[in-house]
Amino acid sequence: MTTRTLKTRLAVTGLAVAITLLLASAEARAHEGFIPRFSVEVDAGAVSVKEEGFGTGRRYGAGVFFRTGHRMGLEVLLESYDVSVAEGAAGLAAGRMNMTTLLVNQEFFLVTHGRVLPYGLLGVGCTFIGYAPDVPPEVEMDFVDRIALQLGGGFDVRISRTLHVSAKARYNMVKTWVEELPREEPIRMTDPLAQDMLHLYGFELGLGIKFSF
Amino acid sequence: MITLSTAAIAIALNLALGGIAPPAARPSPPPPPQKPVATRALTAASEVAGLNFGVWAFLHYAGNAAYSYISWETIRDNFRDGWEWDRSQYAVNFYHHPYHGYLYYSAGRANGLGYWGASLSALGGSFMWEMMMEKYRPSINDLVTTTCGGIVFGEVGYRFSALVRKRDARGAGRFFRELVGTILDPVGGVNRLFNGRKDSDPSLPGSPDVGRILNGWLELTGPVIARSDGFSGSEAAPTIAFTLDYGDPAGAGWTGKPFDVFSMDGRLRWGPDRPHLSLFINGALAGKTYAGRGGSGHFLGVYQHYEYYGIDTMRVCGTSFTAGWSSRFELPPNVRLTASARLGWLGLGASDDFYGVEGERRAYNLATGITAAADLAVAAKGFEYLSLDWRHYQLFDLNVPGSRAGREGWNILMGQVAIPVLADFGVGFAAEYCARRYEFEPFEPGSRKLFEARAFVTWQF
Repeated sequence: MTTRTLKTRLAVTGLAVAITLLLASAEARAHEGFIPRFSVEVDAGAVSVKEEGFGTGRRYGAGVFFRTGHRMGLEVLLESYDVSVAEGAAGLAAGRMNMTTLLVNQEFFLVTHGRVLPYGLLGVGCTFIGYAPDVPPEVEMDFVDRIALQLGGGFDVRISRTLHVSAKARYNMVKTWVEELPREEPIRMTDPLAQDMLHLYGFELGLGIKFSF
Repeated sequence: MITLSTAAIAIALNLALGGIAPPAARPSPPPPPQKPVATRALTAASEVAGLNFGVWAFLHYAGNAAYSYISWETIRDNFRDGWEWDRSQYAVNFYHHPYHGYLYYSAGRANGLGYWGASLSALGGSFMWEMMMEKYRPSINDLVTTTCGGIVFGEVGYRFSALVRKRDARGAGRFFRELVGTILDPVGGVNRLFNGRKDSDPSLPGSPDVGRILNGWLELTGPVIARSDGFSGSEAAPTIAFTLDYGDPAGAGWTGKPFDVFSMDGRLRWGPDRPHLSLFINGALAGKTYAGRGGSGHFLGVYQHYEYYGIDTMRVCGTSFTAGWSSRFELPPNVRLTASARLGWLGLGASDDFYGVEGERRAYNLATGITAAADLAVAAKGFEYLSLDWRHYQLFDLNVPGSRAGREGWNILMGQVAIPVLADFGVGFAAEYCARRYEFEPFEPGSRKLFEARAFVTWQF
């Protein structure tokens, strides 16, 4: 995805959020919103990986949300995205990288009532990284899986008593490296500081819906 | 951080309490019954996990520590491969780990858990860290020192924070109390910041007017008067020391809750190579009080300890459990004599390995063993004139990687006399003797002895 198309998608995302706000239902206007006690959510969007040679792609996710405090909640989300890998990036042949992450995020809400509920989030993800070269190589290579920090924020817009639209932006900070397979000893025996470290920091944008109970 | 915290406790508490502590000669009545406390075990567990992820994130992104590169695979491997003995440095294993445990324990206490619940919090937090948050195999000794040290430091910090915080404080007074309270009870302080409007919640530390007593003294050494030839380094030995007694060692005020009564003796001594912390903490876990004649009192109890000792190049530390007794005798006119003795098991300790091995990162031996202690103090009109303390450690050094198998016997004798000069201030003379005999394979048995006498000024409260 080029920078221009990413900008286009960002603009479309922003427009969609604005329209959602404007078209919020009469029911939502009549009742004060609140942080739901429990929600099921699905979302989709775009991602851009910072490391040179790695492109942009689509992401999607699904999970649950629990309110855990006056202005706090816990989100458990399974998300996945894949991006292109340019020839030579991280010493790899051209192909695609897939990243699937099980996220546990703590969300801190700035306000506890209202139609729009903005929040910041901080969490960790157990990340599984896959690599699929366009042409099968002689030596099999793959990324080392990692646990990574995730920072971000977003807001929920109340549409009805049980339905919220959710927009979020996250920064998923994976530090990893590429290794030759098969690995001959446990990963703990590898000195990470001696590796050619990759900062696969992905900037993610998502738009989704939450069903509250 | 423990060093800084402990050295600051005496000053901070007295500034914060501002004369609330009653004089040493008169124990206060037992505290009024407290309301039932709401416990939030899940929140405590979340905060413990959050602490681990927070520390890990700092080490991984700011520190780029090699051991912080974790994944699902490292967690799986750690569960599969099991425990080992850790080879980290002495300061990391016996100073830093207990502070980490302190935070776990603080999370439990801050969410209404009692001593035992918060102890599980410390154990759970340490277990999670060892299994998940480092790529290396989990360490047995780290689990013990983090948990046991964390419990002792955490409960002491929590009790002190409850003395400092005051529910109806306002303005600068409240700010100062909350600041000191947060240093002493970090997670509780953060929770109060986020839930400020809920500070009347009975599960939070209460006001200092609950009847607890705090006695102690602060001491600054003057010149070294005499010392043995075995000492290395310069003749100067700047030392700051304190003693804090929470509750009556003889049991007045004991309500049956762990650490209703505890004692804390600390000392930071510079030289010859680096500051050496000595810290002796013992808190009663269970016990029974006996009233004596003429206002005397006696207490038979089971105690939990966490102790460090260091003078010159000799150092020993460990976590232990003892049984013992304390007595307070009130003698006319206005003389108080307190005496105590304890004997028990030193679960896991360490002593410096002066033989050393070139290239060996760890310069200490791990040990288990027996510990004994006896204390005697004489005070008149609230001023302590004489004190004598004896500590004994019989160590059986473990034959594990990085540790030299052998046996050691330590005897530490500390005594001092002081006289009041002006109000609560006095001057005195302290003497300290440390003897260590050892049998390490394959070396000949030997011994080392050090002696030092110092003059000091003291402030007793």
